[in-house]
Amino acid sequence: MNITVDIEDPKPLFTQLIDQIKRGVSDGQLKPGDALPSIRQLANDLELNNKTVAKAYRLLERDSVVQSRGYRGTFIHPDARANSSVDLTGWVESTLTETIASFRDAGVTDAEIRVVFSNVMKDSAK
Amino acid sequence: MKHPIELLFYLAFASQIYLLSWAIPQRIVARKRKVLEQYPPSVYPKLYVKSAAQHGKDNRNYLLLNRAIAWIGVVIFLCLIFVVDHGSFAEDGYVSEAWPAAYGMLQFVPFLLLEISGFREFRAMRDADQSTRRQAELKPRRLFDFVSPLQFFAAAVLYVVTIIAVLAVNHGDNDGIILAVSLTLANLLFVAIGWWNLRGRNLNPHQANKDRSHQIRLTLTSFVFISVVMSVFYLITLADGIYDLDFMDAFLLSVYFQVVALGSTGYMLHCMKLEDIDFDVYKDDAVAS
Repeated sequence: MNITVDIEDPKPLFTQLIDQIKRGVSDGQLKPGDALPSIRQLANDLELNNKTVAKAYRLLERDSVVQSRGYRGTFIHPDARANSSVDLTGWVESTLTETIASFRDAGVTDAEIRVVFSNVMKDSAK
Repeated sequence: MKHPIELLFYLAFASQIYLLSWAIPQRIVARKRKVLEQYPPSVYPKLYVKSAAQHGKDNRNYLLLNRAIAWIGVVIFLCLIFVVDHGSFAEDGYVSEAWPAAYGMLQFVPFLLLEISGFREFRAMRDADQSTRRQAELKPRRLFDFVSPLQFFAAAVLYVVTIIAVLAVNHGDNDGIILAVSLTLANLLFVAIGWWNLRGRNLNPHQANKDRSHQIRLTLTSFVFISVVMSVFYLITLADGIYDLDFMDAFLLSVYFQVVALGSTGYMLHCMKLEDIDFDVYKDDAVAS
């Protein structure tokens, strides 16, 4: 399977990688147990920073679409097909939309929501 | 002529002149001209960073340089037969191996220049590439996908055996250490270039994935072959020393250069057929891969 990135696409590069790998799994082009290229190889081939590919692999591992087996490399997860359909970003977006709508209904201003959201994000990162 | 081996040396040296400075360069230039004819810059603009006229001029210069070296070889050949007093170069009065060695190194200079020029062209190709889209194959490139484990381990074992033999026969003296270090450096160079081929950035920004895989396979196979040839050559020359067959060294060195040239450039020219290369990626509307 080939993977293509467009450096002028507004979508972040790591998201482009994640979307295509998930699509490859859903289409059956990538099967459980298939080996993925090393971070360095893919980064060199696509002329990307190693950190970009590493981030994509890390998020895919979090979503159980791929699994790292140490020095042996990165492989497609046995449950990748089921897990590829889980859209965590979409879930966050819909949850936030509902929550923000309920805040507005209660009369909270957008500026207050932004300040509190930013504080909560900062506190939870500590 | 002191020994029939000298006749063999002259035959080998004549063949060395012809093969390295005439036949192989001729094939390289013929191939480049064929590419220029069949895949012209008007249809395949991404393949060329220089004008067709400049390519023609480079080809002529490359051929001229090789022919000049070939004629130097002919002069050396005639001098070795009719003029040179071999006794003043080698104690045993046989043809010294320094002749084919020095001339062989001169013959490899145009090959080196060609590599450097190719490297510069690819760099210019990268600089000229304005595409924002990049494509890669989502498949790991592993050493044993390209070269058989048997061949690889045979080369590695032979290298270790050669190093042990070289150090043992020379009793760890300077000669032995120099030979061991030179063999090790050559093999390390192969490892470094091989690693770059497998994991590094592709110099050619447009090359199709299947062509890249094919090229890596040929390069690694050629490296393994040359590593084996080098080890075998070192072992044979060691045996020469032990059995007082040093008079064969000039002949063996000449054959060695030819085997190396055939195993590297000759092998690539033979196996990398133009018909099998995907030239469509060099068209104007093609996506970089």
